[in-house]
Amino acid sequence: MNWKLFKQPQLLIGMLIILTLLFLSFGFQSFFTMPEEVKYLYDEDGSMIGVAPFTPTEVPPFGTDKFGRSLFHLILKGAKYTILIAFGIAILRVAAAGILAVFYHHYYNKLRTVLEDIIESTLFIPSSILAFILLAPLTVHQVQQDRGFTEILTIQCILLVLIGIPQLLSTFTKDMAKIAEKEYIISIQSLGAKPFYVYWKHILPEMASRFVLVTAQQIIQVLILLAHLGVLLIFLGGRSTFTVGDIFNEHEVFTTKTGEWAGLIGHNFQEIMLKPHTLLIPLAFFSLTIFSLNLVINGIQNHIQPTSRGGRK
Amino acid sequence: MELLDVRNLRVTFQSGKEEMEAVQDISFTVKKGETVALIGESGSGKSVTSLAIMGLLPENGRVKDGSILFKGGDLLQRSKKEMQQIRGKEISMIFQDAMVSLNPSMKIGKQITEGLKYHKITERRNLKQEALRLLSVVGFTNPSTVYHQYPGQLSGGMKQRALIAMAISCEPELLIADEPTTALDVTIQKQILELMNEYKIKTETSMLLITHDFGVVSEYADRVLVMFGGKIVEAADVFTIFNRPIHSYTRGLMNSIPRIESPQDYLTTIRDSAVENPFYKGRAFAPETYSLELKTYYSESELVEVEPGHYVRFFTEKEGVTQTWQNL
Repeated sequence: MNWKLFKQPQLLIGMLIILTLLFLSFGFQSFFTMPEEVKYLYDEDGSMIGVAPFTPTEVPPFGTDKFGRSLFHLILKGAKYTILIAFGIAILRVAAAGILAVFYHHYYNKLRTVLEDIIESTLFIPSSILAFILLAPLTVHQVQQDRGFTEILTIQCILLVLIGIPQLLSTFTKDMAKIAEKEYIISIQSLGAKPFYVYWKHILPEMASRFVLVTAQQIIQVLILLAHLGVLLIFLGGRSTFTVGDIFNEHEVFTTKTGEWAGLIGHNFQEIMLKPHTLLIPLAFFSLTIFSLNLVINGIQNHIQPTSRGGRK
Repeated sequence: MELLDVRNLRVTFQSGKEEMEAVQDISFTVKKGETVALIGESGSGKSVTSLAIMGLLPENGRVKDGSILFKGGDLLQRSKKEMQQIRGKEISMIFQDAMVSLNPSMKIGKQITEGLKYHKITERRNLKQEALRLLSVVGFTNPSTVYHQYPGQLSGGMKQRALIAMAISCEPELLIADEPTTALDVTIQKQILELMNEYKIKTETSMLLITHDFGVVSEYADRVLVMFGGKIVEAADVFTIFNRPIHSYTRGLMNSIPRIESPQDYLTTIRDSAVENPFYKGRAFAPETYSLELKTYYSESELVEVEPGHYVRFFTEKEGVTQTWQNL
């Protein structure tokens, strides 16, 4: 990887969008004031004319959720958690898989018999189902054993990191095998280089651009996974439970503790038919982030293979 | 005393369930300060032999039998760690394609000093100085510029020089040059070979020169081993091979060289079409393969010393099963 990477316009536009979201999210307290919750709208005569959630035309710019909170402000506030957690999980996945791939590739002949089938089989399990099975018990633990926010978030992140490792391990091992076959690797070995020196100085640096690319892809995968988990009412950091309604129609509502976007999707999911904007607005921001990351990926790919992708070297 | 003594070396490659013997029972020696040329066509087992010596066979390759004695010790009995100590420091290799033998994303200067770093021959603070010295040894007039350049910024000949600098950095006793000039044009070939030869003479380094070019052999080799189909078919000193070649393959190879004094309309090829047939199980370069006879004969072959130091592969007296061509 070199600094020419940052001359790719797609990469710069994608990064600009993401950095703007993060900037506004971290500076939320300085730039914005959280408006009061608008649960009911009254006309000039004091008659109630509407109940939250309100549409963007009723309460601009993005309307409110079912608790009357401004979606615009919630989304900006939650951006840092959503994007940073996705970044963190993706980076940890790539780092862990990269390190493990070195050992797996080096001892491939010995480990293959034991690990190859296990790794290959996990590739075909949908990651959202796997994540739900592993994360759902944590929600019960959180309530029953009064687990703290940080503890739950840490365990969730670890599990989400682990879920992505087998696929990356398989990918990286194949990449390493291709590089290891190159003549310059044999040339270096003929000088007496130790295997781990070869990985550290030659194979891993050659994979640097690939690591960046895969990290961007992983962020997208994690965002999609978080959105799926949100629908399944699994929120990062656990969930707060509210009882709403009246004695005739009392029901529990779950909201996210961190304010991350998947939580907004999850707790507004029941409104999908009546007030779809409560779902579509957070989804639009998920899409915007994913679109920006795709721009970053395209920028990186244009840098790695400029001619095959129609770009200039 | 021999520096390198290869005895009855057999190298096989696993391809699915089949095992293919790439090198079949070859033996040779390399003395101190001597240049031994391994010559033969592509696929004859020259490079596999060199990789077996270096202990760098691909994963599906293995030494099935034999021994490789280097300074009296068998390299095949050495541990991986011990081999790492020997590679680069005592035995070094120059690869044929400099275009792909250098890491494209690492500066030349750093690559040249890799061997010195592994073997801790030079102190870290002196590595740059040593790299510059090596670059001048291999003929660069502007070593400090080349030091900071990437392989992509160098021409083919310059890359090959850089590879040579890498190979000689630890002053090995044995240098294996695997077709070091194949990818270069003729004028650069000459420069590179002269450079290697000068270095060899100056330092009394032994060299195993792998090539398919008789011109290179005639100028730089002391002894010649002609390989075909994984076997040595003829071995002698360079003068004997050129003056009195005996084996049909050696003679065929020599006749393939175009001669300026006798112009021809077509290039001469090795006249044994049978060996081109992968299913042919008969005797390659035996008289019947040049005739219209429809029979093939099976028989073992062995190297026979026809005169002191001149070995030629002959078929043994015992003939095997006779078959017609149609049954093959």
